[in-house]
Amino acid sequence: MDVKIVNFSETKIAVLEHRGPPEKVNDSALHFIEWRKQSGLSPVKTSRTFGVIYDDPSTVEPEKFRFDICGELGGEVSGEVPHNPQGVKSGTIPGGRCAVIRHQGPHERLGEKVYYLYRDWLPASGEELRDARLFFHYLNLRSQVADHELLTDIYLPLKS
Amino acid sequence: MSEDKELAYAQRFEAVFDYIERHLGDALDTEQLSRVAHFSKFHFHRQFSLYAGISISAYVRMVVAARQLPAGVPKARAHNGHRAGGGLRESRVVFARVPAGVRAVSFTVPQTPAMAAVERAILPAAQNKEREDGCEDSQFQ
Repeated sequence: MDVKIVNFSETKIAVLEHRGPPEKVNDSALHFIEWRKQSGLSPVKTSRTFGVIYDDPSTVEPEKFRFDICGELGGEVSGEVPHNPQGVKSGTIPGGRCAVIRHQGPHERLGEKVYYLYRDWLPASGEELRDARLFFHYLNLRSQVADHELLTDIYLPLKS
Repeated sequence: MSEDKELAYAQRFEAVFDYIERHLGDALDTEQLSRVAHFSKFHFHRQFSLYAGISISAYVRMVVAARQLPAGVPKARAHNGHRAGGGLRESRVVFARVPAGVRAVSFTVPQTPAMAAVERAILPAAQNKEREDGCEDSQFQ
């Protein structure tokens, strides 16, 4: 599998914090989409879409699962995201070195590549992990392409 | 060489396994264990469970259970082996010394923490169960 090392630039984001069972992430995503449309601060066509994952859904209790649904904020957005009914807040994806692997196919199978990074690639690479969360960059979305055409870059933050 | 790096990585977990065994009666927390391995606590849970094939808490329970075996089991060792043909590795915990009359206590456990892991730990037969399903259930839009 092809793993690249890249420098990811710090990115300002709008964040909807999903807290609870993994199968309900889609419900939270609907709120985020609603905010995107209403606010116009992170248009889906021109702003990148990210997901930041805190816990392994296969080992954490469902109620404790944490996942941030994120949209890049354009340069013209200064300061904080204005108060909104969906509870979307401002945030940052920290910049720095990352290992990146591309996944093609359904989001349900992202875990296989995440496991590969932690279990196979990391030990053999000699790299050290940075104190930052693993995140996904969704290059396209379910609303745009069929599941087998979905492309997602998985970023694992590394120390410099 | 990547083999050297893998060995170095393995040795850091060996230190964690040793530490757990020496502190079975104590309250163990992630921060402490990640320090022993010189890993960041940020990623330690996942690194541990993917290396050992079992969560930290299930591993601790398993070692405690294994100690109840008649002859005692002094060392539990995780072993990450390449499967023929490549692909994902299988993770397994292997007991280095097993009680008399027990041929092998070697098993692969699911990653979900479960008392099933402890039950397998005290069963005298080798068990193999593989689990490769994905986990990052992060679908949206």
